[in-house]
Amino acid sequence: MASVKTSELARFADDVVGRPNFLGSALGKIWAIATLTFRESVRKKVFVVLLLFAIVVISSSVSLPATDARSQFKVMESWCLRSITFFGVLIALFLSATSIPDDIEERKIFTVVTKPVSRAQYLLGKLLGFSLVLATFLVGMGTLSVGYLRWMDRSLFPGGSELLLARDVREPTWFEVLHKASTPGALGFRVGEGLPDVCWLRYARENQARWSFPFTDLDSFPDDTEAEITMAVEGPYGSSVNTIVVQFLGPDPKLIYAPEPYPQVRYNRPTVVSFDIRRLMRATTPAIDLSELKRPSRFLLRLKEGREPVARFLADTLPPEWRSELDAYGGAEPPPPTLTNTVLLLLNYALERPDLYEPARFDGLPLSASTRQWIAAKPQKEDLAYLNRRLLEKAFPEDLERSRPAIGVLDVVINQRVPQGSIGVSRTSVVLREAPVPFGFERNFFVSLLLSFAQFYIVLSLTLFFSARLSGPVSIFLGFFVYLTGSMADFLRSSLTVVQSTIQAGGGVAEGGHVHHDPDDISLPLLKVSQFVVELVLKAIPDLGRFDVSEPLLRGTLIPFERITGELSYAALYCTVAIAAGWAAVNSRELK
Amino acid sequence: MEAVIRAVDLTKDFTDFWGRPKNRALDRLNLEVHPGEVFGLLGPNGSGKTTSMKLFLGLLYPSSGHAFILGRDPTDIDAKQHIGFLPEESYLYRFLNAEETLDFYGRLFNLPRKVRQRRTEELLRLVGLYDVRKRRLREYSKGMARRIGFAQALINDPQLVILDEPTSGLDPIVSRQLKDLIADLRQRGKTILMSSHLLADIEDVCDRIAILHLGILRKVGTVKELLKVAELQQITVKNLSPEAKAELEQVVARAGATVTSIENPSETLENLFLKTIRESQGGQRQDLGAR
Ligand SMILES: Nc1ncnc2c1ncn2[C@@H]1O[C@H](COP(=O)(O)OP(=O)(O)OP(=O)(O)O)[C@@H](O)[C@H]1O
Ligand SMILES: [Mg+2]
Repeated sequence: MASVKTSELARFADDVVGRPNFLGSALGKIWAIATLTFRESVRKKVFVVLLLFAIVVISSSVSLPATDARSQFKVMESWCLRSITFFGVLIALFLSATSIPDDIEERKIFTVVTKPVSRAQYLLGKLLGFSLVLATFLVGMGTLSVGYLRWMDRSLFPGGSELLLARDVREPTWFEVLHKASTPGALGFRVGEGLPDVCWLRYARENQARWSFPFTDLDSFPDDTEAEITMAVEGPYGSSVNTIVVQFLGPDPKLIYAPEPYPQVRYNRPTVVSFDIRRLMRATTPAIDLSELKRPSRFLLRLKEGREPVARFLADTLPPEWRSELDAYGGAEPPPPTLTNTVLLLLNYALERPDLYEPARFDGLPLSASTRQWIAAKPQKEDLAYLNRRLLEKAFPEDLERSRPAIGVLDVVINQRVPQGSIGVSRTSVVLREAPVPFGFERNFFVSLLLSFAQFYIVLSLTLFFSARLSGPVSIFLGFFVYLTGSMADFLRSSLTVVQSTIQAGGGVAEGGHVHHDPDDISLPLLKVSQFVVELVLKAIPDLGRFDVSEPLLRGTLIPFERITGELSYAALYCTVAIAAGWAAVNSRELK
Repeated sequence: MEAVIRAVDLTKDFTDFWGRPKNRALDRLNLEVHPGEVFGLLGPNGSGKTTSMKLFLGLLYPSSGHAFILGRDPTDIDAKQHIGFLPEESYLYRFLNAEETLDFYGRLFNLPRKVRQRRTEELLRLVGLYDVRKRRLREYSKGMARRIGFAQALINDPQLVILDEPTSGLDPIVSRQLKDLIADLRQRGKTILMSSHLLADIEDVCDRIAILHLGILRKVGTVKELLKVAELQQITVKNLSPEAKAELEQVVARAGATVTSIENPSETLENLFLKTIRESQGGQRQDLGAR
């Protein structure tokens, strides 16, 4: 020691050390603490143990019991996801609960907070460090699992399976069961309103179930939409197969399309019925009549001025004498019948012209993807007329009535083909699904991992808040408690309704207007107290059940975007509050 | 000149879980540490030395009164740009090696990489750990850990260095070197606040000292001032033979004075210390135990 004199040490001018604490320098400090926290966490034995355990548990899923390869695969899939989430939460819990108490217990924090590091920066650095650990864990385990599942898929189903696909689906907004024999529409439910889980359609062909899918624009329905039907089935003579009739009803009840042969359904096994959405449109004629022109005078002037390329194109086909008649028109209401007739002829003639579409002419008009596909297919004759009708509607949206309502409903109606056995339908028995998205499964899997991350983060920030004031073991205990109750929030909520109804019934069991008091019943004040406590807990505890997306994952449907943003913003809100509380706790804590 | 550290009626009560005051660790401390001086805090165990340092650094919050450091509130993080602190026990991040440790603390000051590298090397040479710079801190001996603690306190070339018992755990050679280093820092105009139980250490390096007992400031002043007793004079001689001593006593007697003692001058601070503590106990207790 002291072989060097301090006078030989580098002296720092104020611009090296004395810089004010602006944002950039704050980030540098936070990052320094984050990387240190990362290294510290990865070195912890508990992390390595949990990591190994997670790998063992995931690979053990091969030996899970299952009846067939298909369900085995589904079980493996959910097992992977659930164990990643579970172990991630454990890691988040152990790391965040022990880190700050360790720093304080071992006095390491003294050397950090006596440097120009605010407590907020210290806390954020810790959080960022844990995020890095968890992100590494998730990405690592996620990639491993996806690879593992792909490999299992290949070895279980040599020809490739449909199991690793994911597609967009539309869920119905209305579901009803119609007993034609008695009152129609006797049982109707807006989706989400106290539905019975399963409604049985038995014996009579007239008993129907209907699912309604609203849409704002038929164009937004891709042409290869399919209906996926999953229901409970009791077939004749105890079998689990039954035959159903599926009808697609367009916005106008006349537009019915029933694909044949009649599809067979099996117990809880999705049946896919494809239909051509254009078949429903085809029920109308493409021809334009006077009632479909909203304001003929305005349209005439538009043609006369010929500002839009399509209007110019139409007007140019007029024979000279008709043209001069149009030029003479000054906008009088109502326009002379000869002129309106001319216009109708002109429009209907355009329907048959293969040269109506030209890229430059429709430049800047909002053509949907399916319309473009249709154009690329170069349709002929009748098909061409439908296409041109659509194109004209796009070119003159204010003048030309749409050939179908812009807002409409597509109904799927199902009944039994023969009155034997019965089928049990529910709200989610029918969904409309689109073509599989490339890498849809991977996308889904990583979205669910992202939501797991959000879940970890809630547990993490809460535990960090606890650990800012309490010891490590106590924080682990509290964090675990939050995780468990948070995962059971649904269950607690439903138990609350039971308690509530008991309270309303006056503390006993309501039966036919009378209330029975059992001597073993819990007393009313006690029930009220417990209700109050449960309500309070439910308000404070995060709802972690909402991050569970295994259902769409197993079903092979894309997790909707709104769901992702919804859950993420819930998590962000919750974490912000927890982190702010953690900051307040750390800031006011004395370091003894 | 403005004081580097100022305590105004600084009081600290430790409280129990419910916030009820349990014991008073520091009682209305009024103190100023001036720029460029080495200030020593003395006191038996539990007298409030560490507590007052923690209050100056914003690790503890005062129960009443105020503390100012470099003219600012102790919780102001900008003041900490110019402060170095060596805690009583230096547990650092044990999975890091010496080099990584200093680099980490350098990053907390946003020092550029180049500066950090140079500074790390210099400090490691200074505290004599350069050869073991790749060894993890968990494998360090107590004294080595103390040295790296000292190095991290100097990473930012601080204006004010606060050292809580810097020589504890160091071998005599190193503690001598450390004292030289402190003198050296003082030469460069740094201010140093240190505490120690080794009175010799304090006497060697400190310009001014304060003696605390049971949280109360008993004495404060320059070492010289405090040790000077008006009617006493001290003669320090070398190789005094017994005959010469007898002769000396005769001379003193002739001048009408008496020789009270001839003793080793390095023990005088110890005497002062013991006396101060006994006085503050009112002669009731003989032990120096903490309250
Ligand atoms: N965390 C704490 N909780 C309660 N009391 C405390 C705490 N830390 C210190 N004290 C009390 O405060 C008083 C002063 O303690 P402090 O650590 O400042 O003494 P010190 O002078 O540094 O002693 P030492 O020479 O042993 O380091 C003691 O009575 C001690 O018991
Ligand atoms: Mg102490």
